[in-house]
Amino acid sequence: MVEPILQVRDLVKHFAGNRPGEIIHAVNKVSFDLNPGETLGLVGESGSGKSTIGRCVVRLYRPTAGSIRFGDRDISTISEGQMRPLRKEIQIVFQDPYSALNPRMKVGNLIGELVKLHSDLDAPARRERVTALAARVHLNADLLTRYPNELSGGQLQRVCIARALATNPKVIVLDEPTSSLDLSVRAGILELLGELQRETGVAMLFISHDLETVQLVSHRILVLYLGSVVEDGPAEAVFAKPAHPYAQALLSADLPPDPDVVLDRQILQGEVPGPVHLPPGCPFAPRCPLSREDCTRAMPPLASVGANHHAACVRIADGTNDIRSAHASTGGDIHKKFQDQFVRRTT
Amino acid sequence: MSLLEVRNLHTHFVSHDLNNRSRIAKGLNGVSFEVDKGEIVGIVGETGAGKSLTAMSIMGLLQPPARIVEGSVRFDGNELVGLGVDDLNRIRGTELTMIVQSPLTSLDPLSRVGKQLVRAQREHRNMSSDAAWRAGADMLATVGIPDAERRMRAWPHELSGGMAQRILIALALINGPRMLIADEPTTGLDVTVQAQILDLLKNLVRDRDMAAMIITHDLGVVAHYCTRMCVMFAGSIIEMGPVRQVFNDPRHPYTQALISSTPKRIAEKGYSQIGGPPPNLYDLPEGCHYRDRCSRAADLCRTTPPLKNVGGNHVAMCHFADKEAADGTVTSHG
Repeated sequence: MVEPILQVRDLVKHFAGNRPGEIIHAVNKVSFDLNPGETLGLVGESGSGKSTIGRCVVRLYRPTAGSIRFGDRDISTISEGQMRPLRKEIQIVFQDPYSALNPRMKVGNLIGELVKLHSDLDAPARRERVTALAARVHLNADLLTRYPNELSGGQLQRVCIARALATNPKVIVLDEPTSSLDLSVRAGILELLGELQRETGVAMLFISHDLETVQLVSHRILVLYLGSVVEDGPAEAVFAKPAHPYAQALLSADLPPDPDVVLDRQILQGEVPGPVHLPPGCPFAPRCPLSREDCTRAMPPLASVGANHHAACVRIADGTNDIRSAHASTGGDIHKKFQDQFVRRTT
Repeated sequence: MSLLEVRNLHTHFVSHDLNNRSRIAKGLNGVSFEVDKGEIVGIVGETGAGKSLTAMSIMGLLQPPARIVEGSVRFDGNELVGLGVDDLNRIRGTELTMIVQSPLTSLDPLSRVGKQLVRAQREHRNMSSDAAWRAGADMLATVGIPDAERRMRAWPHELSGGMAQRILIALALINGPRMLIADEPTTGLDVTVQAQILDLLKNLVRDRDMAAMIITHDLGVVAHYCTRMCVMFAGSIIEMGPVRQVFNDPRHPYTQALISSTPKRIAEKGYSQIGGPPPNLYDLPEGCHYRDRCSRAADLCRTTPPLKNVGGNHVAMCHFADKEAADGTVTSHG
């Protein structure tokens, strides 16, 4: 049994809303483990709390409640000063490399900055390390003397990855690392990440709304909706047989870039409600074609639907959780619910 | 005759440097294609390939320093290039309309949704405000907005991204256009909302026998919603044909590389390194513009490749398009 490098339990993160007293429930009791050498994919739509979880893990945010164990230490409440030496163990790569890098520093110094902060190497040794890191992310050495505005998006993202790797971290959070890149460049970055993981055994938390990419890189998947985990499991199992009605709808909405794939889409009505007033019980109940009375009473617990595969739906117990079975019969009902939801949001 | 015929369109950005030497960025280099009634044509390509520029050129929305230096755009037989603003306005907004990117910044923030819909109609037709208001509310219902009457009174900032995108579609359709150009209509929207919007577009094209052009960088959208596709690279259409044919048998090395870098193909066949900087539009290479990134580039590629027909309406702009690729599959850089 491998000891997880990261154990997150009942993570909660609230933000203050625009109006006084308003609370944004960004993350609600999320739990997961991350093992060394593993990539865990976080998928969900905007507002599902993916990025907030990532930022809590690297302690850019202080969680409202819950624990984040890194190794044998709970880092959820420790001070910034106590966190600092741990930062070299947990790194993050952001979505937009243009805004993640200081435009007034040369690429070599951008990478060297981390080596300088987290090691006691002297200047020549640091330069050597920077060159080695650049080579490792397949970045041409003559780019090290350039400024970020002279590099392309793909090259800049390689710089960000080199920075994340500079301290030999045990965990890297990748927050939509390829979303701002063109398809052809994206493939190169994904390949690099896979290569680095095999070499170093670093654990990755891969946050993305691009289902195809997540499927390609992840070992396990966490499907989030409105800040709650609705399903988790091995990537193949979740993609092959999603159990939660939301996961089924989400995965069915994906458009594979292959005209020969026959789509079996389960179109949801409406949009994700705002995170200020969470629906009672299951957050997906107001849009769920299968919702019934007890869905709004309490958040359903994660029920086992296969080896290491869980989903949070009350219908799993009696096996009536397939949304394909529901669509025809409840159409009008959904439409009404959709409208009610709109009234709530805007009044 | 097709509804929209674009012939040999060249759009350049002409600017001057500090020494007053003119610099020309060749944004479009001889783009030709047509769109027929009842079909949805997808335009794909990487950032800077000229996808949006093509749409802006067609709509006559270019701002200096960009201008069309050569070529023709015919809509229903009428030439649009060189047309004055007044004449152009009789066509665009009514018969030929466009949905632009970023819905939340494209609506007038100081007018309610209903007022914008009324204005769009009264600009082009003689009708009472009341009738325009009712038609607007009907259109909102058509594009799947519940409680349309109430939404007519909403301000743009009250709308979610998906809702704003629907309003833009409603605005584009309110005058019953015969052709719709959608520039990244679903970028930035969540997948479940994307599905709703694209289904809506597809049904509208079918029900109203419209023509549509979707600009996207998402091959999935093209694969499932378009009938034909154009692949752009450095301001040229380098491959064009029926979607299924292009996906299953891409003939231009760039298209091959593009399709092989989708996650699914990577899972099947492994990675093939294809990335590279896009060519400098100020200084395009002689001959084939893809030459510097192409693994099978030969001396012949220093001359401009012809658009070769490789069967059906499938064409590719490569000297080797009608020959099998060297290893039979996608080429990869070593």
